[in-house]
Amino acid sequence: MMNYVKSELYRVTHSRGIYGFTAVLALLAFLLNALLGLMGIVDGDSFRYDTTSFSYSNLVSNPMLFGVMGVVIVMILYEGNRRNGNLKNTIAFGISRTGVFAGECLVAVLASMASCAVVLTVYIASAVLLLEQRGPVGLGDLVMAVPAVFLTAVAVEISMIVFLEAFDRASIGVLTGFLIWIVAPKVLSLLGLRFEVVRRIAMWMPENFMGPSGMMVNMSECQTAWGTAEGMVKCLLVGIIGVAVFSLAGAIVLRKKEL
Amino acid sequence: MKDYCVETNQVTKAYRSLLALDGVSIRVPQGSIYGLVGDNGAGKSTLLKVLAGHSFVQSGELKLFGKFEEKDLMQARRNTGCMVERPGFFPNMTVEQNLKYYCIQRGVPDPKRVEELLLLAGIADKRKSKCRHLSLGQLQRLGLAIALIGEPRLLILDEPINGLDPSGIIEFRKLLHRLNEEKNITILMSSHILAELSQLATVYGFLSKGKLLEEINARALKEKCSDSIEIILSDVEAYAVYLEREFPEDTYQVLPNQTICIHRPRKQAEAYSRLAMEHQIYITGMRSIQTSLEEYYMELKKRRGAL
Repeated sequence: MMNYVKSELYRVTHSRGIYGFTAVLALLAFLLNALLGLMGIVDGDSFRYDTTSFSYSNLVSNPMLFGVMGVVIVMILYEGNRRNGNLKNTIAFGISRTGVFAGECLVAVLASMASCAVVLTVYIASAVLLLEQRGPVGLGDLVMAVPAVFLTAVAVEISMIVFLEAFDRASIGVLTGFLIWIVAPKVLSLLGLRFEVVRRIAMWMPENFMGPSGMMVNMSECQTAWGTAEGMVKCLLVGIIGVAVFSLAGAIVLRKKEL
Repeated sequence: MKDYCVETNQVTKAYRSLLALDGVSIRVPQGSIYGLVGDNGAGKSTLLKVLAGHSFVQSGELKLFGKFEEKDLMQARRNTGCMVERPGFFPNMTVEQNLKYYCIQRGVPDPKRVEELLLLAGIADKRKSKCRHLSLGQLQRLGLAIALIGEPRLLILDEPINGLDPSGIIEFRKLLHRLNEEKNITILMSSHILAELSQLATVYGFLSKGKLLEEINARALKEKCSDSIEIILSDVEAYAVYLEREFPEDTYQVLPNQTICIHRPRKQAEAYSRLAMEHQIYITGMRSIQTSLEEYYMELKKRRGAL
């Protein structure tokens, strides 16, 4: 399996996909902060959003964006696997399907971490340099979002790898991921308005407890899901369960998957 | 006892209601070039996919280098190189990068090996080309180069000469011969181009509708295929008399136009020519009629009721 991981790392570092994606995200992060800063200069005090708090809140109030970014990275890395037939060589070389799956997960997580580190550095540095440092959402909230959502983002990536490998068409894989991570929690959340048991279950789903129904992040306050020790434990626990469930599902589904 | 690189025993594989392999048992001797012959849908690719680990069998046993447990099979596959259906590659990477990628994967970090493979497969001039820009023939060469990484003992090739130009086919044939003779690599290959296969294979397996019709070595096949000699003579009746007297074990048939046909001749053609000459009978035409591999396959299918 380690040889597979090494070869994939060679591919990641010798392909433009990840570099391009990271560059685009970093540029967008910079442009967002530059635009806010520019508006602040042009409009003066009447413009309230040229603060680091507002900039950070975009990410802090939507921590599942880390998961979405993870999905894009998985798509960049593995979307063409089935079409290009490269796994055929790997399996024919005697590497097990579970070894390939584990290797894919590991490489996707490593690539995401590297990409995330670059984008967050640009995001934070440009915010600090170009915006006023005031408001309820501080750098600490953003920095703490990373460990809080990390395992959930990893679970999202693993699930996407499973869906991409399990379905012949990538679009069906993406749709399945969207249904499981976004639509199902929303539906349960709505049903939870009527049934208390369902509401409790729904509030263990990242899309809900790390979203508007579980957090208060705006211009006047910042109550994040990971703001308390109990909340942080919940974030980590949900992430661990997600990683375990989708890793197991991947191992079972892909073990006998025909190429 | 003969050593076999590949042995399948009553292997069965179905895709829903379609029985792709129906109790197929083949044996590929070590050092041989095994030609898998069959129509589209005969089960050739399915069999090769099963051997490469891309598909799983419903029943039956599969052995690679004598190993049959799933874990051992994976281990055994480290000694094989495969190109089944179409070659797998990363379209946005160059030929050289693709080879490096698979070299790392097979634990062959030596950069010289990439160079060797590029030269061996005849794609050295395309090393910097993105794979998405390669022609089908060039992709086949890349597929072979990938299959050859790690010095495999067994090569599994599915329609490897598809897309190659005539000179490419000749080069490819020479390369396979060289790999087989110099490196003692056993080759299991399928091909639609039976004339080409007949220049390579030392053993044949004939498949039809998922069933193995016959497994036969090239020498036995040649004997079966060298069917008859047709001779046009000045006096066919007299020649028939001498033929019966001199070579009583031969069977023959007198045909119109002063022609005699000797079925499955026991002697070389010169013997029949000499017989005519000794009795002052003139030969105006002589030809050896051989059944081609295609004809043999069609005849075999007819005999086994597989048509």
